[in-house]
Amino acid sequence: MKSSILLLGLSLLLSLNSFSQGYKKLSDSEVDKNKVKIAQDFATNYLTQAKKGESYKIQDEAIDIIKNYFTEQNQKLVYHQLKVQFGDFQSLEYAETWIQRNNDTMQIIRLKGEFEKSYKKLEIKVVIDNFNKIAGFWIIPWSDMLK
Amino acid sequence: MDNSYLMNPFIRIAGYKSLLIGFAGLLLISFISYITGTHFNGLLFVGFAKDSKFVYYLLEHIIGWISIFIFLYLSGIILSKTQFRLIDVLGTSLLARLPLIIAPLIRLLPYFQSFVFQSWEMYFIYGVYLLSVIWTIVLLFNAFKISCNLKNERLIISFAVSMILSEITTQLILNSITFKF
Repeated sequence: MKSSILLLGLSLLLSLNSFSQGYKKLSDSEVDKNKVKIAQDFATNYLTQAKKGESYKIQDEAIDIIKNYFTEQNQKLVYHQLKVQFGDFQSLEYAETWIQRNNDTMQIIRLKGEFEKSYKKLEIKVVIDNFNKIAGFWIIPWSDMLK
Repeated sequence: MDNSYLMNPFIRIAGYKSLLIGFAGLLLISFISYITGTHFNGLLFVGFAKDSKFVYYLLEHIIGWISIFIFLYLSGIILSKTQFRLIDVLGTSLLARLPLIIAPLIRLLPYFQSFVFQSWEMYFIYGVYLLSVIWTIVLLFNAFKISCNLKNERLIISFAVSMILSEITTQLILNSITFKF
């Protein structure tokens, strides 16, 4: 009976483990510093310009979908929503990098951003493809769980 | 240390002693919560985010404690037929929170510092947290029973109502200060 319970517990643990197999957190030595710099520069430039009421001119650092979406109007709208809820952007710092196990061409770079009115830091998530171009950009409340 | 001591230490520890031990525990839990990024939004919600200063983690525990203390104490005043001491309710309700240290302690392990949503790490830590909350509720119940000399229906109903009201109050206060000064 005891061994059956143990076996059942082990099976459950292994099946749960399969959920997390999709992503892997990179160790410091595995992190591509160049990609981190691209992510930090992009996020800092956008948020700093938006704070001044200006828009950031995206050049070739992002894929077309991002360029087309990140119009002057959308940039202002996103920043306005952030400012109302969390206050003005203050600073950001690098936190960690994750990759998809079955698709290591994309790297998820997680930055922590500080905003004026918020006790809590926010996550600035930047996805960078294998051509070192921005392929995704989100600002959400920080969580130690990658969602 | 037998089971009864783990589930009901208040037979031997109460008053200022429980307050002192409880307060040392509260500081320790808050500190480990801070370095591991474990948030306690009331007893029902645990969050994992290294995103705040120490004072915010400390506030979460203080608000949770003071909130349950107020409702238990008021229930005692209204329902108890005997005299009881404020310091006993204050101290034992704080001491009862000690099992909450387990989840932050586990998060000191590298596996649990940063993980994927719906991973085994997430389910494990939620499971451990659930057990520690059940233990905390048992301790709170025994603390209330001994401190306020209540029995039977009065004890059970007033404890349940106090827990619910305390949980709502804690959530409201924490939600109102999360993104504001």
